[in-house]
Amino acid sequence: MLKRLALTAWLIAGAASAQNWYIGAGGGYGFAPKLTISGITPDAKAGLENGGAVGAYFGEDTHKYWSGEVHYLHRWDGLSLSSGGTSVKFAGHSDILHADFLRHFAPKGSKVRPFVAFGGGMRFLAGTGTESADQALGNYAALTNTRESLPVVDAAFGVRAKCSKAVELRFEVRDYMSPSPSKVIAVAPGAKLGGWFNDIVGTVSVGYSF
Amino acid sequence: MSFVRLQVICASLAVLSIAVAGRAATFGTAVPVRGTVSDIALDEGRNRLYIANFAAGRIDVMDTADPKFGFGTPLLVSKPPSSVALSPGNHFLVVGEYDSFNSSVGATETGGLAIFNLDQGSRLEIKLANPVLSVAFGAGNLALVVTKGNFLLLDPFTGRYQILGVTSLGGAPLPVPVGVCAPNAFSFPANVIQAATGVSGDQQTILILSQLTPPSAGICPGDQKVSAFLQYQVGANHLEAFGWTSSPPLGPRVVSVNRDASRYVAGWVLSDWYGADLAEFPNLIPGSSMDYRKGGHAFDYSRNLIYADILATVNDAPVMHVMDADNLTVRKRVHLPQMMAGRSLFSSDMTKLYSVSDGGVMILPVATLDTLPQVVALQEDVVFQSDICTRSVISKTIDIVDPTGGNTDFALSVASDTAGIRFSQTSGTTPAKVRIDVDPTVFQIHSGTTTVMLNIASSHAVNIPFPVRLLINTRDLSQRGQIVNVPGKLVDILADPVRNRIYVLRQDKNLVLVFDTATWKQIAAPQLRTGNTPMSMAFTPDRHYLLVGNDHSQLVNVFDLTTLQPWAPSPDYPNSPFIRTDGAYPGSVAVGQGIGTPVVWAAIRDASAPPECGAGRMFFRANFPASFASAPASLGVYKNCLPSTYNGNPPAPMVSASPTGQSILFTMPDATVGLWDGTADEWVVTRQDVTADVKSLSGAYAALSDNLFITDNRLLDQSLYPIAQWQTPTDSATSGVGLGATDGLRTTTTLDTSTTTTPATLLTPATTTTTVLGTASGPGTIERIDLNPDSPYYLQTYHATSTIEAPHTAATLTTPMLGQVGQTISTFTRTLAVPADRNSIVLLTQSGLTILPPDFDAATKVPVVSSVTNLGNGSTAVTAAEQVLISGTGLAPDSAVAGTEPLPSTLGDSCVVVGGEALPLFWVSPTQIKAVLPADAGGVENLVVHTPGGVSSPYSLQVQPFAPAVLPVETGTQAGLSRVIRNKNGEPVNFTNPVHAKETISIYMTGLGPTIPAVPAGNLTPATPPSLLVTQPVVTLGGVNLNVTFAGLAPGEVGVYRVDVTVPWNIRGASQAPLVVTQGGASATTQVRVVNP
Repeated sequence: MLKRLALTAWLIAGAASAQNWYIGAGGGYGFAPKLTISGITPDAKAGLENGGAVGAYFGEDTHKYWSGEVHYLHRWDGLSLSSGGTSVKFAGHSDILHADFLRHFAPKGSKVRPFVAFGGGMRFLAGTGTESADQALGNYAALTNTRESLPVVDAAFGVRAKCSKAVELRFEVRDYMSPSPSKVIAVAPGAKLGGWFNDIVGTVSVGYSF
Repeated sequence: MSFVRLQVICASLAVLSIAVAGRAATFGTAVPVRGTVSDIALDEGRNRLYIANFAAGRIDVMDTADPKFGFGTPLLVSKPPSSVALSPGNHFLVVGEYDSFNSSVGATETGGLAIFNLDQGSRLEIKLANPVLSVAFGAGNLALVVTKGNFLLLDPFTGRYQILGVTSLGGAPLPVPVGVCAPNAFSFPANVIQAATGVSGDQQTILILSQLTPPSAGICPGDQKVSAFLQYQVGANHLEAFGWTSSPPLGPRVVSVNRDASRYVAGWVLSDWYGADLAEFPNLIPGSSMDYRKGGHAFDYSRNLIYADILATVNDAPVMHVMDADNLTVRKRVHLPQMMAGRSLFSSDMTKLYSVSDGGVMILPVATLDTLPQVVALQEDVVFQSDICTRSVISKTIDIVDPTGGNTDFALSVASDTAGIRFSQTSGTTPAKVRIDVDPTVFQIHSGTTTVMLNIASSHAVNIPFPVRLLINTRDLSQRGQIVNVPGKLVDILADPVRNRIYVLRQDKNLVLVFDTATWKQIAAPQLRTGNTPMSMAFTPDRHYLLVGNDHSQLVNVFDLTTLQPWAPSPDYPNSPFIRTDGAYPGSVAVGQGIGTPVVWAAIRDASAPPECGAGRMFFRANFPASFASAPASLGVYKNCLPSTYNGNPPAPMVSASPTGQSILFTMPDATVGLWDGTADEWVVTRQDVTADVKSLSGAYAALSDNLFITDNRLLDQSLYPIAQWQTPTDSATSGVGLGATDGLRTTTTLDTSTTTTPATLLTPATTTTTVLGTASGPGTIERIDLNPDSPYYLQTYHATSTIEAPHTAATLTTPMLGQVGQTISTFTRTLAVPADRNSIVLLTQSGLTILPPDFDAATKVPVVSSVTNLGNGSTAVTAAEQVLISGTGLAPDSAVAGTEPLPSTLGDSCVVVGGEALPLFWVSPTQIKAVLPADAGGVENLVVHTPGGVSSPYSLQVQPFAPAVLPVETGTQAGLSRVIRNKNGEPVNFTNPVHAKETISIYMTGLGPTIPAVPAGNLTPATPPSLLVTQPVVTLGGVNLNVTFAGLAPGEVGVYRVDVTVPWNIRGASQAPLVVTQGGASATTQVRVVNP
């Protein structure tokens, strides 16, 4: 832990001394594999819906191969619940705020810089649909009009390609991993929604360095 | 203000209204004449009405064009004028003179004629030896003059006259001296003492009604006078006598003739061309004074109506009956300014009627009668149906209208001692919809139908409105049957053996009503019109024809049941589709199958008893399809005479044929019975069995088979020997009897009684007198008769079952006439019929018909109550105004759901009473009932269920002060969920629809106690003013107090409370949090999921 904090501080210090900032925005699409609700036969699946995403980021190329970034992503991810031939959908969305470290595989100034990233933050998950006492598959879970915050860790890979001195194009795929929600998707007594869920989002962004 | 007190106030207002409306409007104008009017003649060419003023000895001349009907110079005559007639062309006025008052002792009466030449202004006097009784002109220029000694044909131009001979029927000239009381015995016309004439509309026929006195004593019983009819054919110059009546003499002394003389009214008899007595007013001699001047009539052949003012008593008010011209059915009654008193003449356009009246003459603008103010009620009957459990007021509306469309005043009233009825208005102007509110609790003591007459009066209407019959039925649920209201006086019923119809005889309208037994709707057209005062019906053996016997017509109507039309007329009498019974009124008819021919037997009321039958004959007979019936000289070995002790009141024995037609039973009130055997075509049995306890017979009668007969409560075998007798309480009467699918059926009625107590005195003890009344406001009884000869209970009755209302008896049918001119109610009644398909049993009852299922006595479970639970949580804790679930067996015959609010207290033939109060019912089933407890229930209460199966044993309830419980959702996909509703989406809270912070939820409950204002149990709660709980409940969620924003009865619901609460912003989320409502120390808890945010 202490080493991690020291490394973080060093990267930031290095970034501050390089003063190579950049911002960017883009959009993409997320794929969220469903989680299994067990405890009731047959099983059911619940989770976030695949859907679009838009985001923005702000970062600094602090070192020759390292960068630090803060990301915001808005994900249109409704909720779903299904079992057998019955499925229920519920409107919702997520806002993910996280900070990442990037390890580039080409030095700063290169035209093309592949990278990997990792970090963490928070997912603010909201169910916005209309609840009903008649909701199907209510014996498995209730899709609820409420909000909950979930910690998120993420890992990504991508590539940054300079189009000009200041403009860059960026492609990346990031996996957001969170514990399963308990309020927005509330499992019924006797059922269990296990594990972490993954939200794999691919984005294309345009950045501007300054 | 109490219901009864308000009713008293209304009654007082009604009386006041009557006082104000006491002087009714009259129809027509009365013109006083100073003197005595004996006759009139209308001179339209000169706008004159010539009035023979007998006492003043002159002809008064009234100006018909003068709005004030002033008088001009009278025409003077030398002797009192008895009659006056105008010649065709208005040239001559012929006045008949009758001088009997100037005769000195020993001098004979004399007469004369005064002939006025109106063109020249001259007068010719002719002396006659005999007083002139009547003068009439037909189409010719000669006048027919009827004197006390002869008939003359007078030429007014020359003053010459000739004596007319009179032929009798058959062509033989009169007189024919014989020694019997018949016209032949009279020296015709020497014995004519009175006469009146009437001229047909086409002026081709002059009819004469003459009264003859016997030439010597002893020829006619009691030296009674005889009325004879003569007709003079103008074209043929032929005068003949064609009919007569012996007793009593006809009156009033008026003859009215239709256009072609095919029908006429002479005295009180409507006859046809052939002399058949089509209809008549009852023998209403104009008062004991024998004053034949009182009364009058006119034949309006343009409208097919007869206008008549015929007195029933000396003191009758002047009323003109507007009647049908075929059978004297009364259509309307109008007040007259004076009584008719003699001849009436129409204007040539038939718009005005000039009548001799009691004080002069009257001018009646009959063409405008239907345009004058009148008041009628559109409804004849109004039925209010309730039961032992009904507590709410029943409202019905009647329409009081003026058919002319005008605004005419009216006033309503009922008998002053009537309670439980109130009106939205007791006076007003037409058109008006008057709401009638009946409090059934006032009538529930009767468990049957109470009849209240609603009288209508008006000060400006010219008509006398018919009253409306209010029929209030308050049955016990164990009473069977369904009422089909049929207004009128229903005196007989027959089921068609081959068609799905029943026939009901409506006596006040002279109609046979035909009902389709599949729908119980009346077949409206064609109407089967009978003679006057029909009494009974019979089928021909082939079931092709229906016969109707009448008591004020000398005929038996015959109807073809295939076409529902009158019988195809006899070729001899093309316009007379009936069987004539000249000289007798065939009240009761039966048709048996004789030897090779159907035989019609009519039990009659003799118009005039022949010498050989002091009390009159018994029967007329006709071999169907003959159109004449006559009295056989004997009935087999028996005389065709009523017993000498029989006083003819009530009239006529009653006859009934067996289903095969091989037997006909007759039964009489004096217990005489007789049997006709069709195989022998003879009356083979007659006997009279009077015992110590049976001195007379009345009520039900029938020939159930050729071997079993019933009269009253006696069963008779094929020799009419009494083989069994049922017990009938003294205040009961047998009503009907018939054959069901397997057994016999009989009905009885318990009559109302009145008990008066005479207090004790020093010398006598207190006495209590019970009087049997002529009403039956309780239930009737129907029971089966075991007709299985092999059964040990053969001929016994069983399965006695109460009916929804009482079948008719002679007493209940004998009510004041309403618009009828004749009413005849036999002591024997036929009030039960079983249609051909045997799918029902039909009774003639107080409101019309009562329809029973064939299994009216099917066993039904006595209700048993096993539990009463709170609808909210299923516990036995209940409180006032709580919705409860009553469980048990036999709680209702079938399931039923209340359709409308306020909730009924009877549903599906089931009701529940707690503490004497009927509960509003949501739904019923054989095993459960959902109801609302009374708002004033408290402590220990007994709950009782009433069904057709009986009454349950009382179930003891402990009614708590408070017993809150959250109601469940009862229907739909969310049924079973607690009725805690999120206002955001209107859905009940559950796992997928949790309570959220900061939102409002509504909790629907029961058992929260009294509210202000209170809402009657079973009624919808109104939105305004809100009914709020007297005691506020406390509501917590997860232990946190919630803010109660509303606590009271839920508007738009019945007996449901609603508590609205707001969830605070900081409520803790939970998958299950207790929502607790506490009221008066009792609480209700339901678990809900809470989410925040």
